[in-house]
Amino acid sequence: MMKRWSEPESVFAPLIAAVPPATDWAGYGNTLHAAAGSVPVAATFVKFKIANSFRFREGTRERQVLAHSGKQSQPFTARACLLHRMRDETGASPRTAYLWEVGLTHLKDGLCTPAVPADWDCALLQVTMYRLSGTGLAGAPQLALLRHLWAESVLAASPDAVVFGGAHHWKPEWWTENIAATVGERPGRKF
Amino acid sequence: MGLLAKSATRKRIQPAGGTVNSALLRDKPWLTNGGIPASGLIRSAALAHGLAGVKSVVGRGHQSVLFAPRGDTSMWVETGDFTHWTLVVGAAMADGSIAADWTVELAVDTGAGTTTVATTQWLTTDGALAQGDFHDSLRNELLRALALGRPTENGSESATSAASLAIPQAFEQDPPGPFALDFHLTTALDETAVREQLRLVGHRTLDTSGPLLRWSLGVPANQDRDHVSIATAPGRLDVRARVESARPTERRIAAQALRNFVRRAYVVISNRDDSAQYHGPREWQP
Repeated sequence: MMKRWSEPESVFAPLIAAVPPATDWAGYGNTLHAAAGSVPVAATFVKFKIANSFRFREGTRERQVLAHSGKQSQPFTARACLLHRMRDETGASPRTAYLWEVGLTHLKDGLCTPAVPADWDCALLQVTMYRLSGTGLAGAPQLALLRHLWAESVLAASPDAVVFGGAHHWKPEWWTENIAATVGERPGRKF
Repeated sequence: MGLLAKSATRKRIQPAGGTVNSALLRDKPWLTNGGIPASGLIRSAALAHGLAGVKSVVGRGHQSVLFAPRGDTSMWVETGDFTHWTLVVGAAMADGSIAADWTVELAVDTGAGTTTVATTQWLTTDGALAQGDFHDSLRNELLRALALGRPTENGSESATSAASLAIPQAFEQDPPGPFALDFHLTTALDETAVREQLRLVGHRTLDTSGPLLRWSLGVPANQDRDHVSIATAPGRLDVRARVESARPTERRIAAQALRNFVRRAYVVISNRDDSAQYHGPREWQP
């Protein structure tokens, strides 16, 4: 018996979304892909020592939200993650390169009753992985923006659509920016 | 000293068991009932352990503890099915790896109503478990929270969310100024097929039933200033986008959403029409 529980200020708490039967719309997976692609790519200049050597490496490390579906997202219908890696790195990244990940589960009829009528099309978006540091959740603004864009896309699908659970609203002060100096502009350095 | 420390470490890492509060097990299935508050209880146990100022040893092998390099401690929490959780505590290395202090595995048996915590990987210094008090406290809190069905004190995820959302993001370039983008796609699809395909774009719809298809871009509160529309004509789709919200940061978000929209619109049309082509500014080409 699912209740309409609420944790409206938490970006960790899951979101439950539901649209009435026969709603003609993009679907939960497409809206998650669109939301993930709408989160700007943050970038930081870094310089670090390469393990087990005396050499240093420098470059730009990016934070980019990526979405997957199909085989790559199993056991979830779709996944989105914040990947934190060097710009020139390609291919598969280790799990440690992810700052957080959410999994989308398309729910069968009746699993959300009585919170949602049995025949509605429901989905559960859950935070499946996160990294905590001394300052809190790494990449929280990207997660909050993804949740907001996804939830609002669902709500736009039908006037009767519902989203409840964790935080899915947006405050402009959640996205503050620093403009990092580029490599060539770093004072006192020559390239 | 070393032998006593090793003996104490052996005791600390032994698996320990507990129960799951019966209220969490009352309704089935676990995923949409007990699994949701149980995940919250586990988060509260993880969040209650402040990591500010905590350091992990990142060196390995035989070296003096006094001079061993240290890094800021992080905690990684992961689950795949919401009955098993992996919690890793250690330092993030610059090359992307983790110098782990230890790994705790938490398993919930929803049939038996029991929980188990086990330490599957650990680091010792002179035989003593790295961050041993933290390790014991976390394991105990996980078992306690699930047995009582009550979150850990100081483990508020709302408070952690608020603090985390105040951290600025770094970018290389300033956000764009207000701008407009006009381009068109050529396609052999008829209007019905075009509408079917564009339905899959996934961005927030403003109007997809009238003659002009419209979507918002970025933050929905700015939908009057950040939006994109498509007018269909035989063989051609005319796209007009406006990114004009007042806040620079929200223009950045809308501009990123537009780039994604252009790519997705092109892809969904191309999926049914190999001959579809983009005609517009090169820097926006999908």
